[in-house]
Formats: sequence, C-alpha cells, structure tokens
Amino acid sequence: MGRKRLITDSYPVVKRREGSAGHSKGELAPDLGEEPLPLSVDEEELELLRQFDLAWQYGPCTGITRLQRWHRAEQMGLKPPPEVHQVLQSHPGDPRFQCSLWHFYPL
Amino acid sequence: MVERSVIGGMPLWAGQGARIGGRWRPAGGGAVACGEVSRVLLPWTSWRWGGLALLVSTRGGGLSGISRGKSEQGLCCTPKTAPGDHLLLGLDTSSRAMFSEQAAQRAHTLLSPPSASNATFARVPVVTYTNSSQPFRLGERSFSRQYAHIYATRLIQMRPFLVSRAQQRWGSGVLVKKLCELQPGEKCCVVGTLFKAMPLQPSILREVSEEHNLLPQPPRSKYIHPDDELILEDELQRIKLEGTIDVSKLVTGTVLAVLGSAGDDGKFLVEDHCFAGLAPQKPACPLDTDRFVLLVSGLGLGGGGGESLLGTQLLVDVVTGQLGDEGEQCSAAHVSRVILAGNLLSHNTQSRDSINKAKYLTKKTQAASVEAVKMLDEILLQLSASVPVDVMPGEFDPTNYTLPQQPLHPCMFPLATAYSTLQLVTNPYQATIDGVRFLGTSGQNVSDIFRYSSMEDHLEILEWTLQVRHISPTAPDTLGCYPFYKTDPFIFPECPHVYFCGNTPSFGSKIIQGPEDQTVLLVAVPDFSTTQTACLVNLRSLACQPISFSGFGAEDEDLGGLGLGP
Repeated sequence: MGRKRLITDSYPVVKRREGSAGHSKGELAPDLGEEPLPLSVDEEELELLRQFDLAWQYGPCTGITRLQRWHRAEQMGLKPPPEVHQVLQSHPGDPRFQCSLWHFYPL
Repeated sequence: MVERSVIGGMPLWAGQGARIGGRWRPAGGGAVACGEVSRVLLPWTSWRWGGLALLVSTRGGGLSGISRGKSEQGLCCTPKTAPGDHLLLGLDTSSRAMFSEQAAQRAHTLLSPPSASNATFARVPVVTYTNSSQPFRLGERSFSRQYAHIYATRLIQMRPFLVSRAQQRWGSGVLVKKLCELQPGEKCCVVGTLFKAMPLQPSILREVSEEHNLLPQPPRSKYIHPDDELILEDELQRIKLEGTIDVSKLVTGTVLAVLGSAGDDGKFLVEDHCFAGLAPQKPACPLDTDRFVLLVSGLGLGGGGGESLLGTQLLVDVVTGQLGDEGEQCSAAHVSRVILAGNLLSHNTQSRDSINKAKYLTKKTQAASVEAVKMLDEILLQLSASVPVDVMPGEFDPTNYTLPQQPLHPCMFPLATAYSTLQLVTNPYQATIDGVRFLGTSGQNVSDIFRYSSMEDHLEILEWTLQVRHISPTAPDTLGCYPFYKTDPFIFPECPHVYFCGNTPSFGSKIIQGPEDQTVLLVAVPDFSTTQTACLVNLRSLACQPISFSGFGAEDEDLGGLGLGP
C-alpha cells in the first residue's frame, strides 16, 4: 500500500520551499527563529492590502472596494498609508487587489 | 344657470357678521369678504360642505376661485339659509402680527364699492435661491452593504466636535480615552455612540423565532420601558452606562461624550454627559422688506373627507391672491415661496387590501393613490402658476421609504410640471431662500424619536436633534436609511436659520440662541388635514405665525336645528 490518497492530491503541488517534502498536506509552520522566506512582489503587495483591510482605524472594510475605503479614510483626515494607494493604482481591474478580504462573502 | 356677478353686500364691518347657528366668526382683521348668496349659483342640496358655504365677492366683482371651481360639485350652504342672507367667511389669522396688520392697513377697501380700476399686486421676486440638498440626492443605489459604515463614519466625523465640547465644558485637562484604555476608578471622558437596549422594541428576530412562538406585538405609541439600558459603543468595545444619565430620554444612535469612571463590575459610572451642540452658523444678510415663506404639511389628499379639501382650496386661494380685499391681497403678494413638507397623500391611500383580496376582485380597481395624485396635480397647478413651490415627499407619498426620500417623479404631475416654479425636492430638504438657510424634514425623524424616547413635545425633540447635531440619530436602527458608506449626510455641517419638521400634531414655534451667537427659528408644522393650519415665516424678522383655514368645523353637526335666518 502506498501512501493514502488525499483529496488535496487533485490540486497541483506548489513547491515553494526548496527541499520540502512536496507533501500536499501543506507547509509545516516555520520554526521559531527562522526567518520567513521573501515572498514575491505580488504577494508582498497583497499582504500590505490585507493589513490595510484589517486596520480598525479606517472603519469597516466589507462591502466596499479598497480604493473607496482609502479615499474615505483620506477625506476624513485619518491619513491612510500612501503605499496602499500606489499599489491599488498600479493594479486596476484586478479583483484580488481591488476587492476587500471578505468580498466572496455576501454582505 | 345664469352667472351674475355678486355685489359686495350690506354694510358689514369688523365686529359683525352673519349669524349662523348663533355663532359667527368675528372679522377682527381676518375677515376676507362678505356678500350675498345667489340662489342661482349655489344649488340647494341637503348636503353640507364643512358646515359653511362661501364665497363671495372680491374686489372688482365676479366670483372668487372657490365657488367658481366647485359649483359643479354642489358646493352649497345649509338648506335653511335663504337668498339675501349674508355669510361671512372667516380667515383666522390669530396672532395679529405681520400678515393681518398689513391687511388691516388697507381694510377700508373692504366696505366701499368695487373700485373702477383693478388693483394689481406683483408678487415679490425671489432674490436668491439655492438648493443645497445635493448630499441627500442618491444616484445609483447599492444595498449590498452593511450599516456598520454609516455608524463608523458618524462616530469619526463627530468625534472632533465632541472632544472640543468636552474640553470646553470640563476643562481642557480632561482625559479623553478610548474604551480599551479605561482603567477602573480613573475619571475620564469617553466619546461613543449610544445604543439603547429596549425590551419592547419590535424585533424581527424575536418574531420569527419559532421556539418563542410569539405573536407579533401590536403597534404602540411609545416603546420605552423602565428596564431600558444604555450602552456606549466606540470603534472597538462597548460598555454599559449607569449613573446620572436620563435613560428614557436618549435614543440609539446619538453620539455623545460621557464623563465618569469605570467601575470594577465593568460598567461605566456617569457623572455628566454632553452633546456636540449647535453647529457654527453664517449670519444671514438682513432684508429690507417683509417676505414670507409659507410652510404646509400633511395635505392628506385622498383621505375621503371634504373638510380638508375646503381648507386646501382656501389656502391656495389666499396664496394666489384670489381671496380678500386689497389689504389681504397685498400681503399675499409678499409670500415669496411655498414649501409643502410631506404627506401630500393621506394615510388611507396606502391600504393594502388589494394584496390580500383575490385577483378577480381587484383587477379593475385603481389604487387609491392614483385619484389622489390627480387631485394633487390640480392643486399644484393652481399654486405653481402663481408662486414658486417646493414639494417634499413624506411618509405616505409615492417615493422610496428609506431616508433620504428622493423627489417625487415629474411624470405624476403632467399639468403642474409645465411651470418651472414647481420644484420637486428631497426629504430632508435644505435650501437658502433670500439669504435665509432653511432645513427641514417631513417629520419621520421626529416621530421616530418620539416613539423611542420619553420626550413628549415635537418641538422639544426638534430642538434636541439640533443640540445633538444630527437630523435623525435613530436612522439605521429604527428608521429606514440608505446604507451610506462615505459620509453621514444627516450630520449638520452648519446651523440653519429656520429648522422645521412637518406633520406634527400641533403647531409650535420657538427661537433658540446658541452659545456662539447662533439664532435658529424652530417650526413644528402641523398636519393640515387635521388642524387646517399652515405656518407663515417672516424672513426679515425670523418670526413664525400660524394661519388656520377652517370653516365651521365638524363639531357643528347640528346647524339645522339652531334657527337660521335673517
């Protein structure tokens, strides 16, 4: 008997780390003290946008696009980070960038 | 039927009048006209219209608008009056200021024969008018949003005003903290939104919950209860409030600052609280002549009662200058604008019987509002031919339910929209008329606060909303509201000069002074279909006067048996 067939076998294996077992169970959490490997530029930007979504100072993030939320925060004088605006301007029309973290959920 | 002109009647003057049923309306500066009943023109029927017949001659002979328009419908007087009787139509301008004083100056023309030349009065032109209701206009509407946005923007926008008021009131050294930074026992000030937990508040969750198996609650006039609790919420946390704070008076959605300390049990003990107060006000440029704006609300067409139609027609005739002698007509020419503040249609036009009945019974019936809108169109046609009119929608009018209500559609008024003086505007409505800033609603905000607060007087509630600096704090909670996300348009950006609300049970008006030299005239415009009263605001002196258009009312049911006759 080989190893068990998992449902995640139907997904392509994405090798992110060199030397990883290639197990489709997912990555093991990095040990403490280990530095996270540098993500690609896209991943970094998406992470920045996700942090902007979760920041409570700028109000709720659901139901509106990130650009709308950024403009609302700027008009109210809350000084949202300009890098977020730059990222949003450089990827117009891409729903991963423009829509909020929860936009797959209705309302 | 031969129409003959009616001559100004017997020498009646102020203080006398015809006796109908032993009572008469003393003229006292308010008499409009008097004259002879022409049998030819007023057919005898036993049907009475409001107990009072009219109308009579204006200067220059001929008949005035009322009977000319309504004679086909059998406007008549009580059967016992005979031709040659003199009937007095009373226009009660009770407060004896402005309007009737001007009219009294020219009252000598009331009793003299018609003048050879017809006097004409040009209406005062509106010098400046700007409609600033743009924040209440909704373009494309999207309802796929939660209401958390409007509460968040409300708190963020109001926070700076509250912090400055708190520092003015409790000293600039007062600590302003967020709820997450509270230390037990430390006296500080917290800014947040109120939530009032009310056991009697109708809750859809309780209604649909099967385990409770509750029948829906019957509607009450007030939902307050001694067990109500106040909870203060800011961006992240909430805390229960106790102490010197009036739980029954405050409502959900108010943003305020409380001074006190957090107790060990997790509740906040309040020592004092304050609101954002009146917004700053730009002073109005003074006017040199008297100009009036007429505020009416609750015309209630389609309600099925003839009494209010008489009053409405009298109102239209006074404003268009078709009633009264030269004094009254001259005063009417100083009315520069008419604002109809909501509930143009009656509550009865909203009957939902057609939904419950079978289709075959209701197939050919029209909705009650269709006929009512046609009547409204005719009235608006008469008004807008003579004076600029602003029509605000109300609770029972055919427009959207949530605040801000959008203007009625011009396709419903094919006759009246031919005139550019007719303006269909939003509810709430904001405009600058001749330099005086008006802001008003059709009354839904005030009546909603009335239901959830212990305040009884509508004028007091109106003043309270001005102190809280928000037109309708209960808006998304118990009053329908559009899910705004960018700003909360119901916060007062600046203080108006005239702040009104329509459809109140009775007339009220008050002038209040703010701490920074703000002067506001508050007007509670009464429901016209029940009170037959409209309000006249003098733009020069910022005073308000009620005008009532009632005939001998419904209480005079028994005029027949009271010995009429010469």
